[in-house]
Amino acid sequence: MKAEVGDLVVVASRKLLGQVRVGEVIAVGDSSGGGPYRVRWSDDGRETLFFPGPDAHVEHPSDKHPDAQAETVSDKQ
Amino acid sequence: MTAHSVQFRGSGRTHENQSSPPRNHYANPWQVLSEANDGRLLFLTGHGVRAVVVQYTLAGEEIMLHLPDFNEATHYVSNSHVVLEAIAPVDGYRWKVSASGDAAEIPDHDVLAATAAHLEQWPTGIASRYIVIKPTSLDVAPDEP
Repeated sequence: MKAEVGDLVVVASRKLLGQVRVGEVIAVGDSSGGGPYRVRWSDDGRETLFFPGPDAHVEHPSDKHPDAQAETVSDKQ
Repeated sequence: MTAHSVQFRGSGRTHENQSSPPRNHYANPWQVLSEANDGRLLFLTGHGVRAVVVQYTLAGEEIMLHLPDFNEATHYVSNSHVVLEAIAPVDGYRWKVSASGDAAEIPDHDVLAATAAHLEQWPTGIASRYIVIKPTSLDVAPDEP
């Protein structure tokens, strides 16, 4: 999984808590874009250090069709 | 495991005070989980999300629970997606970890005695089950109001 500052992280499994959870990547842990990421979550505005798993993927805001081009996480942190 | 501090690209602001960790400093979520031995287990029922406080222990990168049958969570969590939230101090700050993943029941004989010894013990006659959670996503943040 690779992300840049400004990308969106979508965690599908968080449906359990009422909705799919979406957050903005505000910092990345290394220059390769690999996780963990510091994410500001849209549901509560909090920032956490997020270690993504296979239930998360990245959407790039610049993509015209983000759903079609979403990068799926294939490796566990 | 040790706590670590990560210098982030794109993090322009800094914020430090005595009650909050430096902005770029985060604890290792597994260390927070290992420091706490109880947490809030969230699971989905037919009436919405429920939460119960449970004791747990770590077995590698799995979270082990020993729940009695009279706990409603026991009947909902197996083969379901759950979230465990735990709070513990690491490096002098309080951290909150959310670990989400699928839970499954495992047979008693598959649980190591050393692992079982760290879990709740239930009296003879009270049916109970061992549950394992395999976290897929983790996040950690300072535990602030």
